[in-house]
Amino acid sequence: MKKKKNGLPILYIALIIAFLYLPILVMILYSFNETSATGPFTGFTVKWYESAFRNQKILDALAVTFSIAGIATVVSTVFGTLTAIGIFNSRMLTQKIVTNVTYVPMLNPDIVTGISIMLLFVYAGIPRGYMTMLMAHITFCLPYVIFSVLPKLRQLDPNLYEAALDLGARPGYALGRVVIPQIMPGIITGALLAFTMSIDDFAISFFTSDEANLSIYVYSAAKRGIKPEINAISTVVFFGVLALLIIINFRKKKEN
Amino acid sequence: MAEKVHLTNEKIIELKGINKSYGSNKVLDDINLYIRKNEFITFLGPSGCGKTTTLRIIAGFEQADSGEVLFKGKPINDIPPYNRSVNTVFQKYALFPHLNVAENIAFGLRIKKKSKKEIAEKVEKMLELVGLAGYGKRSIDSLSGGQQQRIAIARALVNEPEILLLDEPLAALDLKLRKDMQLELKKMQQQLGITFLYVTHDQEEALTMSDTIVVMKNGVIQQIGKPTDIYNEPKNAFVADFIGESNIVHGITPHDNVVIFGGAVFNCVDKGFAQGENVDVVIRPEDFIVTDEAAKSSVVNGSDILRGEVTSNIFKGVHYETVVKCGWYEWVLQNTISHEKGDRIGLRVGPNDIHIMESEITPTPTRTNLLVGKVYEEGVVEVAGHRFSCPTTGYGEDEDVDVVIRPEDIVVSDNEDDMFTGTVESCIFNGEQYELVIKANDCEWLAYSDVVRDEQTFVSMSIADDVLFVMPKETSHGAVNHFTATVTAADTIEICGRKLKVAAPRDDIGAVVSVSVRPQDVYVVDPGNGVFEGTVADVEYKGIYYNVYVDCGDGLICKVRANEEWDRSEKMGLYIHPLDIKFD
Repeated sequence: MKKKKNGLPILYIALIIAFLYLPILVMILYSFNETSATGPFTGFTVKWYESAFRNQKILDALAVTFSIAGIATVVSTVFGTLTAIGIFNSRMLTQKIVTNVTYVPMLNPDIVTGISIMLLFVYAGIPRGYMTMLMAHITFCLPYVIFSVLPKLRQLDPNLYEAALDLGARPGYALGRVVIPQIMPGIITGALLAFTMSIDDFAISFFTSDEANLSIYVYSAAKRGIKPEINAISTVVFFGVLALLIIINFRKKKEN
Repeated sequence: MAEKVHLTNEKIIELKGINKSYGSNKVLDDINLYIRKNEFITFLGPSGCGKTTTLRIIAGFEQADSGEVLFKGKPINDIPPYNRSVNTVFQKYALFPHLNVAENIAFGLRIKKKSKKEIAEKVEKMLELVGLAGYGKRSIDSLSGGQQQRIAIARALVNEPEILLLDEPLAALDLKLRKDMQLELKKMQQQLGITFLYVTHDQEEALTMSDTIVVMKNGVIQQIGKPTDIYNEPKNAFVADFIGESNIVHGITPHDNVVIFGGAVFNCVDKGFAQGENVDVVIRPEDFIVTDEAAKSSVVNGSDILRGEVTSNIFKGVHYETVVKCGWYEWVLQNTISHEKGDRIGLRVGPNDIHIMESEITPTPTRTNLLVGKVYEEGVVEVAGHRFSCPTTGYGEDEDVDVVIRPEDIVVSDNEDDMFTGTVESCIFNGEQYELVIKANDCEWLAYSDVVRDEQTFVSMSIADDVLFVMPKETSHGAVNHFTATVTAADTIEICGRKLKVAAPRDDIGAVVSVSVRPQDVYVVDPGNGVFEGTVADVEYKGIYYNVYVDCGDGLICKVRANEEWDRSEKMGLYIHPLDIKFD
């Protein structure tokens, strides 16, 4: 029996996608607009991209964003992996407590995390700057790494580590040569997630530092009137993050 | 068959008093054993018996809660696994998936910093040994289960361990491959002269490969021995049941070398059990000898034929598996002869094929008060300083008697002028009521109470007259069976036309003598299997046991002590051991 086609679900999905992506599409479109960021479309140009990449402030913000993301990713990946291994080898009760505690920062609104970290720096008398932003990023990236690595550890055959010890490997060697290679996919996924989160972040960076990363720059520039330059830089960030997310999703699919 | 490796007495591993618990769950309970050099030793038991935990303690993955692990006489409790000259083959192989076959095998050698050339040579030699030469470059995932198993063995053996630990290594393989690997492993062990410690739940595997088998259950070693010893002389019913197929039934040992089970009497080779002890009897299915129902018995004063009907007969490839129902029992036998369902056959078992072991279930003794009493005068019995009026027919004045008073017949109160006064020795709730042990008049009494009573407090008891069971004293005249017999040969007497063997030799052939047999020495067997045959004429409850009076015809009544009540006119055979027939 042929089922009668019903257009309603398709319409529904189309609407949702439109709501989600139309604003971004408009933004991308206007990054190529000849005249202004909001007015009528007058002609196609790439001059805003050129000027954006010639703007020292934007370049500085990009440098901050990527260096913070790079360092935060490396540090949080190393510590996150070690933490995950620690959690995995703890007693059941400790495991439960620590994983739940780790969940909280992920669920917390960024603004709350941002303000609380800021207050900590204020009380500790640490002047806000590049280092404080880096520390904040490392902090909020950690849980993403931990929760990417933990499932890999749980899938790991517990005998592998024991087999390595049995063949004469000291615990450190066994970890490096057997356990880490086995959980590597989880570590890479965690690192990519951390990197994306760091590039993306506005709220936490805004409160914990006086340095401007890209989000902060865009935010403060927009306050002075939206220039197509902002559209251009936003488009670049959008595609950058999109690319990373696609990679992460493909990896997850492959792992499963 | 490869040459037999000579087993020395050198102990390579010794476990002394090993205990291990996970939380409140005790997984190893006082494990003591040793492993000799070059031995193929197998830990055998059902899952959860502690065999793998023992292996993991030897490997160093687990720590014992108490006890010592000795390696060549030196304690190694605190030595980590990477410093023990022991290697393990894991159940699921635990090969490193990110390394290829050669890299897996070379893992241990690399840690020992061997030269590249040496590593390559050894890896190639190992691959040849396990029959996978040329597989070095393959990835682990491309190998079959059996091949992975071989690589796991190669990876362990290449380190030249003094002991190879194998944790159910063949469990994941199919039957055919498993059989091949069993033989191969045994060959490897004999070629290399390495001690193998093998863990399995497969009894056939254990019997095929091992020099020594350690049977475990619930963290306790049940038996250690050679496969033939474990199979032929299982120490208890668990071992018998776990190793091979077995018929396990309850039996009684009247004397050394005789056992009664399945309603018949058998000669056996076991000695040392108490007279009348409850035992477990194990018969292997292949040890039955099929005879016809009317075959002649070889047992003195009884018959050793189990008679029954074939209820099923299944062809198993090499033999038939036949189930024969004999009275209450069903026997499984393996035989090359086919029987028809419904056939009536007789079964015999040779003395060497009957395995007797202490019963795992000790029958709970009847809990009652058995007291010493004395007939004071006609109709009055004195017990614990008190006189009860009860029938004393058959007993003379001043005669000592046994008196049974059931605990439920004792009325406990706080009344100070009661029959007996005493103190509460203990008070335990048994789920329904409180069981009191009361000390009164120099006797300990068992009584029941609905209310809790504090220990060492005053209590009183009263007992009605009509609840007393008066019995003749065990040794006295009225308690035993007396028969008039004629001596017909040096070792034979005749009672009412039935010939009985006796132990004490007689030279007065033809004489009429009086013999006595205690009721507890008369054993009930199936009709047709006893020296006397009869029907139950009367049953008398004695508070702790039943006296069964069996009418054997020709005016012969035999008194039998039984633990269960018998219906009147039920048919039974009676067996009396020659040693239990006493001349008056």
